[in-house]
Amino acid sequence: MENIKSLTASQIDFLKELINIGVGKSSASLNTLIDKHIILQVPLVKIMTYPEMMEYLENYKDEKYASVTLPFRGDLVGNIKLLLSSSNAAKLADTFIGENLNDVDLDSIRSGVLNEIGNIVTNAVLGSMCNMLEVELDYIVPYFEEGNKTIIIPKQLDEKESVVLYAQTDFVIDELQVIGSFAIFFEMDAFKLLIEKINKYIE
Amino acid sequence: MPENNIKQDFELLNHLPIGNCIIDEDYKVLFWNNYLENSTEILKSEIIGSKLSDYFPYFINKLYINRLDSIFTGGAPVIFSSHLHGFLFNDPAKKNTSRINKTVVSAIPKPNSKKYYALFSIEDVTELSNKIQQHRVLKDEAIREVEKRKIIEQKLLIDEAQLIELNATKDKFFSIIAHDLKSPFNSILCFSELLINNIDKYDSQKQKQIMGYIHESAINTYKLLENLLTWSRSQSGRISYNPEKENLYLLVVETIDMLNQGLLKKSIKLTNNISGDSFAFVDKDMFSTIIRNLVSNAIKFTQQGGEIIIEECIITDESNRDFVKISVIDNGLGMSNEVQSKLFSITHNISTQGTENEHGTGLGLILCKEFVEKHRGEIWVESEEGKGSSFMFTIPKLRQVES
Repeated sequence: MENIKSLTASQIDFLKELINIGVGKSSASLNTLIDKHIILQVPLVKIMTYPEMMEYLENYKDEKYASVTLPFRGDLVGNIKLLLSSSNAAKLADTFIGENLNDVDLDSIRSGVLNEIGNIVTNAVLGSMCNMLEVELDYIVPYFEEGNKTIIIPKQLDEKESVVLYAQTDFVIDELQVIGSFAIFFEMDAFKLLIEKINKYIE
Repeated sequence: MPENNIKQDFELLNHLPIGNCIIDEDYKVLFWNNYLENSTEILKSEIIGSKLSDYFPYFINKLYINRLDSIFTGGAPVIFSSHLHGFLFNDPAKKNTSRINKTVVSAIPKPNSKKYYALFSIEDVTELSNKIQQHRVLKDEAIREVEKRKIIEQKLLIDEAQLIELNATKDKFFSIIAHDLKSPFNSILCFSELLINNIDKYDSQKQKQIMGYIHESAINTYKLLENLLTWSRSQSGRISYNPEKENLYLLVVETIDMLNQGLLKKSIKLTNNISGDSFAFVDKDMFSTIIRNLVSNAIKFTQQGGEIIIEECIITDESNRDFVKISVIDNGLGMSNEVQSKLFSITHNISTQGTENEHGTGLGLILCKEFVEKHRGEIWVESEEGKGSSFMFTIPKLRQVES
């Protein structure tokens, strides 16, 4: 855990910048899917250990959530997740579908669109990271799930040996603002390697 | 990679119940499985070696090229949802047979190379999508129907409340006729019969006394009837509201003149503290009825030698409108919180006897409330048992004092 505490300001800034670049690219892709202008904002980035993440989860209300998860292996091992409350997910999906339904039921049309949106965001963020740091990864096809806040933490996560790179992501489409977040869960060894790669890049 | 090798290496894909095809970074089709051959009616022998966009023109679009770029360098899988891209593998010329597909594109490594092929997995979700759409339409209709019924239910509740009030009004009316008017008439009948049967025996003082009782009962009956008729006319909308600038002091004086006998009988001191140049925008008859009823009640529930004060003050509401607040204050019996809560309600209204068994219908205060509300004012009471009551109401004041 000392690795996180000993991260320098440059390293933290670099990680934040990687996320911003990735989010910017995903914004460009999302804009091709609808005729409205979408802006993605990342007002908050945090690096947390597993226990700190569990504590942070207390901020999440007891309601239903929807997530799109992309597991990855190779040089780094972990998962990247896009997370929204079900009601926000329904609003976001409807904007892309071009509907305005009153219910929050995430049927297969909405979940399919959300899966694509999540895929675009997670691919862009992870892709930027891999390209800049010359990291090679293998991926598993992303999956959509809905449930209570226990779905936020991937099931495979090792409690003791995990680091979470967490970012709040706001989708702004005309007057609609949908708050979501994405998190990259790294196994500890993977995170150590990531820091090594960042150090090489910064030098 | 030679074509035969691809065919061999991906032979398993020919047995899957979804469409699979493989392309290289030039979008040349290298593999086309049996399922796709069947669903698109495009033979492997035709399409393998051709560009994907030759058969499916959407793949010329930069939207797709840009998103698929990363696949050829080993990037993460790309998802094209059925709702937004379901048409990707439809032949534009065959509109009647178009299907809805969900497409996932994954990177598969080229042997002996750092490059990748793109493997398309195409799942036909046409039936599911159509069912979902039907379900959505039904759900929408159901939600609208529920909303409509909620509105109808609300309206029914309002109508029910109105009916309850109407019934209470009707019951009250008949109850008053049946009971409350009977008593003073009984007094008139009893005393008049007594006088008729005994007029020769009674001296003039006695006769005067009995005639006094008859007269008092007649006055009470008249008052009750007057209230009843006014209330009845108010319920049927036959009383019109005609406000004008009126001098409140004079109106109060005129009204309490009619109540002098009651005041004298109980030696109650009434003080009129309304100032002589107090003006307001009121319907004269309604205002008089309000004052008459409030002061009558005060007299009824104040003991011998008690005191009644009528006073005013100006108040301003949140919208900066001025109101005159009139208070009728007595030091009589007072009433409990429970009684206070029922005073202005037709459904709970009860009539009570005064300190000297004076009768009432309980209509007076209901009438006052209606007339005050016609003026867009409010009426309320503050009272303590054994200490007396203050009845207060507000009426709109003129903006300027006009001489």
